[in-house]
Amino acid sequence: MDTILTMLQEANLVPFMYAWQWSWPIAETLHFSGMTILIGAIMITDLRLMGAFKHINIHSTHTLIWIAVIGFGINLITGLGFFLADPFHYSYATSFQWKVLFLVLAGINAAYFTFALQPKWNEWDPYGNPPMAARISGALSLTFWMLVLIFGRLIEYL
Amino acid sequence: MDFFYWLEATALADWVGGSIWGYPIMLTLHSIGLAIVVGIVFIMNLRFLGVMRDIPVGQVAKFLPWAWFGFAINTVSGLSLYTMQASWYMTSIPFLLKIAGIVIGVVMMVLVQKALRADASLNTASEAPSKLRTYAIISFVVWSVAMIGGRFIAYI
Repeated sequence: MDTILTMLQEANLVPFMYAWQWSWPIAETLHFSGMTILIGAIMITDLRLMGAFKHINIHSTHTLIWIAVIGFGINLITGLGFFLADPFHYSYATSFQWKVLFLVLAGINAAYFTFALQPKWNEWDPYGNPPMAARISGALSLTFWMLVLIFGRLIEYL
Repeated sequence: MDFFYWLEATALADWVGGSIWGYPIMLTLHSIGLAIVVGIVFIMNLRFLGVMRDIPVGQVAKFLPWAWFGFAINTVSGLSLYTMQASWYMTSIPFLLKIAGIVIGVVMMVLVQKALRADASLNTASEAPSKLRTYAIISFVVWSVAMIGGRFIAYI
């Protein structure tokens, strides 16, 4: 792993992260903004999947999922900026490793929802409880993303 | 300033500042609360400004208790972090901007809550009245200021 990390570090892919004293805090602020957009949209979607807000048509969560994708995009870009600027620091931080694990699990769960559950959601009652698999997928999504957030915040400490 | 020095000497400040996990636990709770309160408020604002038209305007009122829940987490965690360095925070410009943003942001939450309760016809409306759209824009700006200020406390 060290060979790859050394290569990444020497490739110096994000020189602007260190070239200007405000790059880092600005990227962090964007990372927090992306996080709020992602968590806000995902939370409402997941709670709806879990059976809350039944007065809202379940199919209208479609736009919320796209908003979550935008938040995730902001954080993927800014997150890569941090990682590529200091690959050793992040790779060896226990908390970052946990964060990536839950990120992957959240991704697998999102793919399962998108490709296995969502294609059939026209059969669901728009104002009712979705099937058990969708309720579990919603609960897992909320749990995984919260853990991504928690371990992200703890990188400097764990 | 005596009051702020007194705050720094409380048992809570000792725990947050003195124990290994006090500070990171409070910081993490503060991030969770931020994501919930600002996340939910931003989604509601987007709705008032015309996104997610298939959700009737008034129905987003049901999201507000969750936003208040996030705000409660951050009041508790924020006050805990604050006691640790109360006197220093009072001289930090980013911190003061952050607090100003939060105060106006909370006023917007209350005004939105009142506007949604006052008008039952919004429960089927697909277009938000201009009042709600104005609140949404102000809310976007002040919560962004609060977030930017909050992050820059550590740098300025």
